[in-house]
Amino acid sequence: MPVVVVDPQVFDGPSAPAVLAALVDELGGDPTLLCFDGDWPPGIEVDPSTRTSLRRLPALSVAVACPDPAVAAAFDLAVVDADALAPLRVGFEQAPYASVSAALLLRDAPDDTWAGLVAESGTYSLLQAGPEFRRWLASRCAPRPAREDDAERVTVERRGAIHEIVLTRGERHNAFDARMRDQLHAVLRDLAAVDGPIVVRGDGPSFSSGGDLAEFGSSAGPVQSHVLRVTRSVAMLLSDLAPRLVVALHGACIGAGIELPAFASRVIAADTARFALPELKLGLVPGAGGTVSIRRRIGRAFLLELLLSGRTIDTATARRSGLVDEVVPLAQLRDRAYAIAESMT
Amino acid sequence: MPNNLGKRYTCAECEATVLVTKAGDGALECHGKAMEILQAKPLPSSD
Repeated sequence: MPVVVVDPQVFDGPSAPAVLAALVDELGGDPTLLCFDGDWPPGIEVDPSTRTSLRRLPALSVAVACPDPAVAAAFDLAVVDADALAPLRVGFEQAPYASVSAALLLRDAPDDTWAGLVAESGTYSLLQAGPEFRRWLASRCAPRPAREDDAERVTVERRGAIHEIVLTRGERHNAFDARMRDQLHAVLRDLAAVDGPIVVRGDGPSFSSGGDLAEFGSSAGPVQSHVLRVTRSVAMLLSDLAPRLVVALHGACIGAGIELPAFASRVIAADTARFALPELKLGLVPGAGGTVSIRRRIGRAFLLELLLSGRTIDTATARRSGLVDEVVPLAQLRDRAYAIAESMT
Repeated sequence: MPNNLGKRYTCAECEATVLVTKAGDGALECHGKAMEILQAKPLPSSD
């Protein structure tokens, strides 16, 4: 898993596209982290053909200590110094194929939700068939066997003009399994036919810890999963309902537990909420729509940084980045969600 | 009970399935009994 350091002096003068093309030949198809680290030539401009070359790099590109933000934005990531790069480099080395795939997916993500979801699902399924996910499956402790419980995963109640959807698998931190997906899909489809604001919240200690790990590795195959994912897409329905959707988050909001809420036009979080995207550690990318929804909220560079580091962020960082719109004390979460929903009527 | 657009109903007696293409009030009956709403088939995990 090569990490290649390139002197930013390559951007001084008109030869950058040729140098980058030669560099790509050298990579030979290996998933690579390209660090542009060194003295940046003063006053450089990234001309259109260099910009195109950077956009077409089949590698994860990082600008280290680039003084010009406009130049830094032409790379997948920009970090202030080598120390800031270290945790991202660890993430890359754990899953180089997933890292490069994530960079490629985010770099040219389409604006259209459906197109973005199809692209994300395709990448996710490729990685399901890849060596990194397989290694993760083999290395993990045997998961708790998926309990065949018939309990309802979701309830819907109507309070005046507002519908409230509650995730009811609180004892499992609302782990998102196929049953929850199916029930949520059915409920959202019903609500699409009814006017009025919709509040979504979770029972128990967390909004949602994300995909149910007990189900990971259970799919019939990557291509079957791809078609299945875009057949029953909760993300697509949430995106359609977004203007009248208020999501109230608390506790763990991990993976799908933040990817899905991020579609809502109003995302409020209790001060207890924390957020992380651990997919890359499994050799995967987000698969519940996060490369569309979270990218729109926080931008591609910060999303990629969260994926590579796998770090958990608190509500202050989430608020500052735009991942959530508002932070309130836990005791006020539900009331505040209702107040916002009321204002939508 | 209002019949929602896109909902499917089946008859317990025969093979008849109805897809609601225009929402409205009223109940759907077949063979003298209320038709049952058809839920979407549970699908496996995609993970």
